Amino acid sequence: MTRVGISALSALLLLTSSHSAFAEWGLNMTEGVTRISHEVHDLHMIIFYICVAIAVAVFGVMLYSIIYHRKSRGAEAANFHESTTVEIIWTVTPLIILIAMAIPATNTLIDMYDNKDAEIDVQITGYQWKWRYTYLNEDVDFFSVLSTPQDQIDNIAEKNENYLLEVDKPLVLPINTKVRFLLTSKDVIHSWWVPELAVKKDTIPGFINESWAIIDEPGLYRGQCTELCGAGHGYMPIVVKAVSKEEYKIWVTQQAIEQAAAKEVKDMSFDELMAQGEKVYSTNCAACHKQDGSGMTPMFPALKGSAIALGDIDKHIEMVLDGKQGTAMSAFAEQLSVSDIAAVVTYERNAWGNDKGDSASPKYVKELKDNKK
Amino acid sequence: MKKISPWKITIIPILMFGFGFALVPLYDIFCDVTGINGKNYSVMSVFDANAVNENSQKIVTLQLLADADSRDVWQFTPEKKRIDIQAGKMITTYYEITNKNDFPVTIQAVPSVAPGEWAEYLVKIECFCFNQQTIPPYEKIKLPLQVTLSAKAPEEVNHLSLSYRIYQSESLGGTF
Amino acid sequence: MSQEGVSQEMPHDDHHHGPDKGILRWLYTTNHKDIGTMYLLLALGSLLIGGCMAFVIRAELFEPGLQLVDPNFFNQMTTMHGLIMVFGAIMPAFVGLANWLIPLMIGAPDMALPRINNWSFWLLPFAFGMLLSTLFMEGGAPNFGWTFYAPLSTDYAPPSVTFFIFSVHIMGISSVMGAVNVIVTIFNMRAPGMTFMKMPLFVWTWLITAFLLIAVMPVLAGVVTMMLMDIHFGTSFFNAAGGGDPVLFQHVFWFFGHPEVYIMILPAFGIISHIISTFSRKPLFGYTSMVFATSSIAILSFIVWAHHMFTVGIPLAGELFFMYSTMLIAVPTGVKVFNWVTTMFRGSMTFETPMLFAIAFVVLFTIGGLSGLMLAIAPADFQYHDTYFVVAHFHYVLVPGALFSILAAVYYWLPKWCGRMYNETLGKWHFWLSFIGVNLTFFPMHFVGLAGMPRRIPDYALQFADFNAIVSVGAFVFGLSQLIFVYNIWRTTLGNKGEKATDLVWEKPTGLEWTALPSPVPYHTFQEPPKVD
Repeated sequence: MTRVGISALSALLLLTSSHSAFAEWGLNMTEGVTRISHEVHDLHMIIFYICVAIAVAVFGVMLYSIIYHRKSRGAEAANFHESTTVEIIWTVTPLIILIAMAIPATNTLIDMYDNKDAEIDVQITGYQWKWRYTYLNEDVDFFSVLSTPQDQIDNIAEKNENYLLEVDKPLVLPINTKVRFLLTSKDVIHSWWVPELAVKKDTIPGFINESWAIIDEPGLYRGQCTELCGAGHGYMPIVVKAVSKEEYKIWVTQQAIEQAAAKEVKDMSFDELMAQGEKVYSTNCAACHKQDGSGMTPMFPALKGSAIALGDIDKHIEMVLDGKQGTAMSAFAEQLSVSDIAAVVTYERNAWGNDKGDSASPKYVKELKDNKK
Repeated sequence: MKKISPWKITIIPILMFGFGFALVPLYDIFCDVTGINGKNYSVMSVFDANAVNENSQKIVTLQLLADADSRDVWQFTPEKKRIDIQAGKMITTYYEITNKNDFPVTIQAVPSVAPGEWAEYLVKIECFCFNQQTIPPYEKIKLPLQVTLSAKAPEEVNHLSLSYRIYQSESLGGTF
Repeated sequence: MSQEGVSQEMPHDDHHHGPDKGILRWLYTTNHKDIGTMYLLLALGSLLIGGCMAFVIRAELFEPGLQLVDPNFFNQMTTMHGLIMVFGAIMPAFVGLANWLIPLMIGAPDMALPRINNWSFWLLPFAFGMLLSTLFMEGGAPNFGWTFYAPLSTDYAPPSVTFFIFSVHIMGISSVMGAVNVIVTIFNMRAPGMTFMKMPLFVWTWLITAFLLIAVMPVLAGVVTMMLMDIHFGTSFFNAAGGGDPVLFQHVFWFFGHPEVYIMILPAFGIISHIISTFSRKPLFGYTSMVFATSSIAILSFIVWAHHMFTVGIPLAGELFFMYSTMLIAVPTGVKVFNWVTTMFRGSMTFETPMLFAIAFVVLFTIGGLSGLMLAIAPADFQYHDTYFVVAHFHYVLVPGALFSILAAVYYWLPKWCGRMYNETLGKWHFWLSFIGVNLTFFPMHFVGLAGMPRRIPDYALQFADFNAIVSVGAFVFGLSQLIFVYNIWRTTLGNKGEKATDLVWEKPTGLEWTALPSPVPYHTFQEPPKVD
C-alpha cells in the first residue's frame, strides 16, 4: 500500500509540475491532421462546452439550494410541486439546443461518408493479431506487426518511448491525397483506429467497410485496434507514416523491388537461420506460443518439446506453410518469405532446449511449397 | 375480475411463436430498406426492363477485390482490378482460383459490397457465387461474373467495390 | 433481518404460522421480505466478487507492462467483472428492493405469485455458480467481453462458452419471472384507493422496468441460443461462410442491451425521487412529468440500439436516425434532473447518508448523462467509441448512478426493515470515501479515453501511465470503502447495535411503508388492506 501511495503521490506531482509527458496527446481529443479530424475536434469541443454550461447551470442551482435551503440554517420548506409551464420550458429548451447540435454533426457525418474519387485504395485486413495492408493499385502487400520486444512487455528491459505503439512496417501514405481504406478481417472483428485521421472502422470477417482520409501533414501517426479480438488485442498497433507524394512514389518502387527480392531463394548458414528465425519468431509467433515456446494451453500449444517441433521436419514446415484449419494457427505460406519460414522452423527446432540439430534450408522450403501447387 | 378462457390465452404463445418466424422476412425488409450489411445486392434471373436501360449514360467504376485470406489459400484474384459499368451494358469478367490440393474441392464464394447501401444497384446476371463450385485437383480455373449497373441507380452512386471471400464448403458443417 | 418481526406477531393473526427454522426457512420461503433479503445478499456477494475482479484489472493496469496476469486471464476478468456486476449485482439488488418495497408501498400482503418469486430467486445462485465455475475450467472462463461479440464468442471462444450460455438462459428465466410477478402484483394488489397516478414513483419506475425486462430478456435468450446453434449444431447465423452475418449478432444483442441499460437505471430514478423529497421536506416536483419522462425513456430505448455500433459501417441514413433518436433521450432525462433540483430548491434540507448518496447520484449521473450526449454525436463517437471515454461514461451512470441509488435505498429503508438506525458516522465515512474513490477512479478515464487509450487492453502506452496509476488508486479506495458499508449493515441487523428507529424513521416521509406500519415491519403486513385517500 505504501508503494501505491508513493506512486500515486508522485503521479499527482508529475501531473501538476510537468506536462511534457503527455504534451503530444494531451488530456483532450487530438485535433488530428485531416480536415475531418479538425471538424470532429471542433464538434467535440462545441458539445463539450454546451455540456459544461448545462452542468454549471444545474449544479449551480443545486449548490445554491444546498447552501441556503438547509434546515440547519432555519430554511422553511415551500410546498410547490407542480408547474406545467416550467415543465414545458425545460422540455422545449433542451430540444432546441439538441437541434442546434445536430446540424453541424449531420454535416460532418455526411462529409465522412463521402468516399468517392479516391486516388489510392488500400485494403486493410485484420488478423489475430496484426494488420495486413494491400495497396490495390500497386504490387505492394505486407503485414504490419508490433515491434516492441517481449522483454519490455515483461518488464525485463526498459520501455522505450513508443512502447506498444510501434510496428515493424508502417502503412506509408502520401499527403494531400485522398486515400480510401477498404476494411475487412480474416478471423474476428477488429477495429482500425488512428485518432489523428479520425478514422475508426470495424473490420468484419466476410464483409468490407469503407473509410477515407486526406492527410495534411507528413508525420508518424499511431493508433490501436479498438475492438476486443482476443488475447493479443492490446498488441496490434497501427502506425501510419505520411510522406510527400514524391517520397511515396519512391517508396512504392522500392517496396515492389524488395518484395520481389524477398521471393528469391538464397543459401543461409545455420547461425544466420537461427538469428533470423528468432526475429521472425518474436514478431509472428510469440504472441500465442510465447517467447519461451511454452504456449498458452489449450488454445495455443507449447512448441518447447512438442511432437511437431521434434518430429518430421516436412510436417513441421507444412504446419507453418498451411496452418491448421479450425484453429488460430494461420497459413504463413504467403505471409512470410521462404527464407523466413526456413529460419523460423530451424529456430523452433533448436531453441529452448529443443536441440533437434537439423535445419530447413530456404531452397527445401521452396520445393515443398511449389510441390503443393 | 373478468375471467379469460385458457383457449384465448393459448393464442398468445402461438402468436409469439409465429412472430419468431415472421422475423425472418421482417429482417430482410429491414435490411432492404436501410441497406444494412450490403447484402441486398440484386440478382437478376429474368430480364428486367427497368434495370437494363440502354439509354442511361451513367458510368460507375466497379472495383473488384479478393479477400486477403482467399488470395493466400486459393490464389484467388480478379482478372481485372477495376471495370467501368454502365446501366444496361452487361460486362463479363473473371476471377481465377487454384486448387493446390491433390483432391477436388468444393467452394462457396461469399460476396460483399461497399458501400452497403448501394449494393442494390449492382445487378449480377451471372455469378459464380450463386452456386458452389467444384475445382479438380491442382487446377486453376476461371470463374465468370456478369454484372451491370441498375438504371435505378441515383446520381450520387459514384463508386462500388465488390469483394469475395472463398470458403471451402466441407468446413461449413453441411449448411448448404 | 426480519427475525424481530416474527417476535412481534400480531395476536389476531390466527392462521399464521411462523417461518421455518434454519436453512429451510430460506429455501422454502414465499415471503416477499425474506426473498427480498436473499436477493440483496446475493447482490452484495456478487458486488464483492465482481469488485475483486475489478481489483485484478486495476492492479494489472497500475503500471505499463505485464505484471500479474496474462492477457487471456485479463480478458476473462473484464468479461466476468461486467457480467457479474450487471446480472449478479445491480439487477438482483433492484429485484430485492422491489420485493421488499412494492408490497409495502402499494398496501399488498405479499407479491402476487409467491412461489414463482421463490423459484426466480433460487435459480440465480445456480446460474452464478455455473458462471463462476467456468473460471476453473480448461481453457478458462469467457474471455470475449460482457458484450460477447460473435465470432469471438462463437468460433473463437473457449469451451466454457456453453456454460455461459446456459447460465444466461437461467438468469433470463429468473428475470422474466420476477418481472411478471412485479406486473401482476402492481396491477392486481394495490390497496383500495391507490390509483395508478397515486402510486409511489419507485413502484412506477419498477412497473416500467418490468415491461422492459419482459420485452428484452427473450431477445437475449434468443441471441445466446443462436450462438449455441452456431457452436454446436452447424448453423451460420453469425458466420459469413454460411451466408450469416457477424453484425447481426450486434443488432440483436444491442436490441436487448440498450433497454437493459435502462433496466439498470429506471428503478434508481424512483429511489432517488423518494429520498430527495423526504430530506428536502417537500413533495416531489412534477410527479406526473416524472411518470411520463420515465415512460418515454423506456419507449425510446427500443429505437436507439445501433448507437453502440456507429463504427460497424451502417449506412448514412441509419447513422443519422440513431444519432437523432439517441439525442432525443436527453430530453426526458433532463426533465428528471430538473425536477429533482427543483424539489431541493426552497426545501429544508438535511444531509443524512441516504441524502448524501442521492445528491451524489444527481450530480454524477448528470455527468454520465452529459458524456452520453457527447457519445450520441455520431461523428465524434468515431473518436470516442471503444475507448476509456466510454468506460468512464457507463461507469458514471452505473456506479454513482445505479449502485449509489441502491446504497442510498438500503440506508434509507434499513431502519424500517430491521427497526434500528444504522451508524450515521460510519455511513458518512462510507459516503465520502466512496464519493472520492468513484471520482478518482472514473474521472481520469475520460482523459485517457480522449487521449486515445482503447478499452479492454491489458497493457498500455507510456503516455497513459500517470492517469492509470491514479485510477487504480481510486479503485482500491472505492472498493475497500465498501467494507465499511458491509460492517455497518452487519452491526445494525445481526449485531443489533444502533438506536431503535421510530415508526416514521425520518421526519416527514410519505408513503404507506412509513405511515401505516411499525418499525421494524412485521413478518406479515397489510393482511387487511389499508385505506388510501
